[in-house]
Amino acid sequence: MIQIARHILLIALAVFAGCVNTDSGDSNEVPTSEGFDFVGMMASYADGVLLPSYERLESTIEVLSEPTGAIANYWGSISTADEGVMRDAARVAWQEAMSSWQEAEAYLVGPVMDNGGSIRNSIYSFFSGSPLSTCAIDQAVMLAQNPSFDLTNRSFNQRGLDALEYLLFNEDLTHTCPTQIVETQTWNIQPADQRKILRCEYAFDLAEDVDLSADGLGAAWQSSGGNFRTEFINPEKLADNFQQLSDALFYIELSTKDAKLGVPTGIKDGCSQLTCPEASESRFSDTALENIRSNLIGFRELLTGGGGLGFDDIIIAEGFPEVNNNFHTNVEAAITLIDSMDMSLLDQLAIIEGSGSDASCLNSAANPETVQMIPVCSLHGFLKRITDSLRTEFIVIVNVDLPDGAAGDND
Amino acid sequence: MIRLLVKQFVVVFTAGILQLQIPAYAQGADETDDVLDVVLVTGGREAVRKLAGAATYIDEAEIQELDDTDLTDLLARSPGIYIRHEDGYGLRPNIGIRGAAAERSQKITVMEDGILITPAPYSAPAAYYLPNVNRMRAVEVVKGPSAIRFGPHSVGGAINLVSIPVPTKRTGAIEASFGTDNYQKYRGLLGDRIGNAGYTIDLLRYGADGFKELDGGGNTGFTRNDVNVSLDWRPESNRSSEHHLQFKIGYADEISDETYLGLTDGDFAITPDRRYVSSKLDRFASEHSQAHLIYSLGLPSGIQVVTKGYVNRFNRDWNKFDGLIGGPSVKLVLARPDIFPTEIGLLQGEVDSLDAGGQLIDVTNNSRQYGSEGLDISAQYDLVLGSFKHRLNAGLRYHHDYVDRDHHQRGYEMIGGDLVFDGDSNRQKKVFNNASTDAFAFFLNDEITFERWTLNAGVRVESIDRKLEDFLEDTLTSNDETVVLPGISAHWQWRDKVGIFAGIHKGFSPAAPATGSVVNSEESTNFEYGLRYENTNTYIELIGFFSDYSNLIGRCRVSDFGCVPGEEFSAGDVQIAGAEFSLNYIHDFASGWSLPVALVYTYTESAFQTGFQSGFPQWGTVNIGDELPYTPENIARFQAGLENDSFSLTATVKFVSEMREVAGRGDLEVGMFTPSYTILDLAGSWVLNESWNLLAVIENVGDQREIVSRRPIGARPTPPRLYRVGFRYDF
Repeated sequence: MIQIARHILLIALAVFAGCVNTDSGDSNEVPTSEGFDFVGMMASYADGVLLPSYERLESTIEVLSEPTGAIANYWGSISTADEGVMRDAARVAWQEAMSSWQEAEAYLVGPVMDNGGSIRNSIYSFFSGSPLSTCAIDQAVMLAQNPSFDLTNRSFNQRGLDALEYLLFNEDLTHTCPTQIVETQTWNIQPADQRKILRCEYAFDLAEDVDLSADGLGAAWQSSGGNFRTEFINPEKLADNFQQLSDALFYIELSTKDAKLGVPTGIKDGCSQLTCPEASESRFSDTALENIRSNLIGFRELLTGGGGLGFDDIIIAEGFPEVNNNFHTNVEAAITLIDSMDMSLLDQLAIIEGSGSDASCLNSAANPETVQMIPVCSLHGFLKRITDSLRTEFIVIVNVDLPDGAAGDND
Repeated sequence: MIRLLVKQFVVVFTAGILQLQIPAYAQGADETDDVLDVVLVTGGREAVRKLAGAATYIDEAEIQELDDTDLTDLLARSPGIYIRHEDGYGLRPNIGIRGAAAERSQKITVMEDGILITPAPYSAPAAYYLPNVNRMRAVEVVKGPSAIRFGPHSVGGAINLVSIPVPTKRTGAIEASFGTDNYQKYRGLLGDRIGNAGYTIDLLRYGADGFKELDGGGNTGFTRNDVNVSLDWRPESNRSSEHHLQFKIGYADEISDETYLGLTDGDFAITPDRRYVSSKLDRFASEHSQAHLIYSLGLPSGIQVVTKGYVNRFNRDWNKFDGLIGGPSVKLVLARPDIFPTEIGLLQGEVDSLDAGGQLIDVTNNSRQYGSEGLDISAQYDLVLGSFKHRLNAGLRYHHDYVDRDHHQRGYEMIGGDLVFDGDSNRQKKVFNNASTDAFAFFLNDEITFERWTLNAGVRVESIDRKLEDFLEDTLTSNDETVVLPGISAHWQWRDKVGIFAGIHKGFSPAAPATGSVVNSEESTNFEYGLRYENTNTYIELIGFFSDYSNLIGRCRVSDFGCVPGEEFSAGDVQIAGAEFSLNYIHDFASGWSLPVALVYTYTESAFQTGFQSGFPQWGTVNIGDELPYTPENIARFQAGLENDSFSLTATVKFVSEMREVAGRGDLEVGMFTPSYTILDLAGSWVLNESWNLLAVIENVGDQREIVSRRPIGARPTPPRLYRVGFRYDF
């Protein structure tokens, strides 16, 4: 009886119930990654990529800046038998800190860019628009003897990791200032060890200054500090922060491919000669390639969100996994190529200069897999493949705008 | 205050009478029931069953069966009603009809004795005041074409709450109930008729300590008081006319420590009744006063004219948790506590506020003053033309309402698990405006009866002038709108026991004054069709409905983070369809016992017809075919009882299927829907004698604790198992 009643009811309902048109058709679909967890993705970037990166930066800089750290040890070993070992240890520590920064600099979002990028520039001034001034550093080394000297009032071009590089790697103890500069007029007559000590003393102050900036950067994201993490995740600000993240990916184009490789190799406009080694990064340590390697690792982290949700997941959600594959293939190829190089960037620039022609370089750049006569030019070729994909497929699939400054590409 | 209301009322009423110049001669009219036809909108239970449209009549016995104080519980007896529960006591119900948004009952027309009763149905339709159903004689629900008589909101339907009328002889009653969480209800009722005049005094007070447990202790309960006095004058009929005058004044207040803040799903699973300490200061305080005058005049020609004048005032302050100043949406914090550990810690009092962005608790006092007044004149005339009987109804209503909003924010630091005022008393107000509406409504309806056929044809015209003055932006916007809303329906008494009916009408829900000229009012074309079967012991009703919205509106409320309160969003075309089934059956045993059974079931489906991306959080990203949020596919209520003249035992099972909380289709996403739930209530009553009646109720016998909604902010539970016992003494 109950079964019969139930069937009658179901039939009756089927007859009586109105029905709606649920045909989704194929037009008017909203072109978004529907259901994608954008807030989770931003949290993943904050907690899995950015904050760990800043923590690594803080810890590697502390190795330099602590009173018992690498610079202090080197300082204390001058004129002793350990001096060479301690100097090399300080240089290795600097390289660790620099690698941390080169990876972190691929994430130019949030407080690091506030106030015209003041935190960024105080850590590393290569892209500050005011190139490193070795003379200003030489002056500061002397001025720092005065108790009233305040490092924080100095320009960015005599502070940061690049100033530290000059002090730790430059073997030439003579100053680089014109003779009319008063502060350095007595520098060259001082004993060599005294000049090393003075440079170490200033290097120690610089390391503390960089440490403060790195701590400030981390604190700006913490809830106990500036709490930018919450602002970064806040869905009401998703559009801006998402675009900033996307813009940050283009560091690999504007900074790495163009500024760090394109200009020094003469591939990119901006170098009026065959090559421009003076435009290369980390000339004193000759570690420009290590920096580019760290940039590539940072790029990969930024593309994938570390171990969490990232842009690559949006690309997959939109149905273009092959675009991710291409990114990964080219990033791996670029890193493998760097690892296989037995000559530095400056050495390879010298080879180009020696050949008197850019043909080998341009050929290597155009055919990076098959022609690696000038490996750094082949590296440029791999980077260009990455950035071409960024500015075409990526921005369309992820539905973002090109960042300011990337609108044109005159490669 | 009351004197002022009365004075305003007399002015309005007198002006209306003079304008209309109703003839003062008439003949007597038949009046057999003390529930006056003029306050019913359906005509009563029998009329409902012959109506050429869907309607439900819930009588006093049904209200008293569970001694209901929660209107939403009572409305579950009607199919086609969608409830989104909030506080567990029905203090601020969210009622929708046939898919119309349930959000604060803003898309339905709510009346008391046929008079618009929500605070400002045109200017601010969210119903923060609804009359206490416990003092009502009946509740009527009207859907389909029948609803065009009752505007302004006719997309879904109308609800009319019928208050206790003046009796024909001296009667009185005293009621008291006591229950879980210090639930107490007291009611006193006294009425008498002295000559041609009569009165009723109705006093009601009820409240409870609440079932929520505030972290660190504190109040989560409520108290409501309700005083109503009705006066009635009905002179002897004479050959020229019959007059009947009713005047009612009422006052109601409420203090409730209620909040918009709910829980994370994780906390809900552990302690569903928990309340975070950040809602400690939350308190709703309101006062409502009303004066209603109803004058009925029977004329010798058979014309009956009913004039209703009304003045309502409603003031409320709701001091409540409203988020984190400068912080992320708390709705999101509750949905994703894993990625907002600091923010959830602040809400729970487990993290202290630091001098960093987004760490101040926002406690905003949403202070509002509402008012509405109007004059409603309707006339009815029966006419016979050959074999056709015509019942002509016409009505004209002038209505004015307004809302003054003044929302001021204060910031509190969470320190040591307590809220500490940050000392800034001069924060920028969030909302400071005045919205008002003047509206004329006219309707004309002809009910034509021919043999077994009844045809209803009618039209409603709404002419609305709106104004919004924003004191923060220093802007004044206004607009006006006139709409014509036709409706037609037919009923065919196919057999003595079987009737068939169908109808179509244009539904309408006016935009609020806040919209300026950007968003149009909500409109729909509504179809219904059904059949009824009735014999001595059985009543069956099966109805199909289809509503085709040409412009569904979503209205942002304070609780909808991510949009501006009052902002309206258009969803374009939306279709809602379904079926409503009602069954009433009673089996009488020879022993004097009987077994009444009632089943109410509603099936609903809905689909957006356009894809879009909306700033309205309940819609979000919408694709064609997506279902509306908070529209469950299946709702059912089954009741069975065993009763004789002295005893009754009733069991009620209520079922609601899963509800999406955001538009979508296909599989339900975790955290984005409320689960289905089934609640069993038991009630027993014992009539000791003519005067004494005892009642015992167990609500939610199985203590089913489920999430009924994650709005306004966070997961909210079904009430726990609650016990009540009470008595009623009639004299």
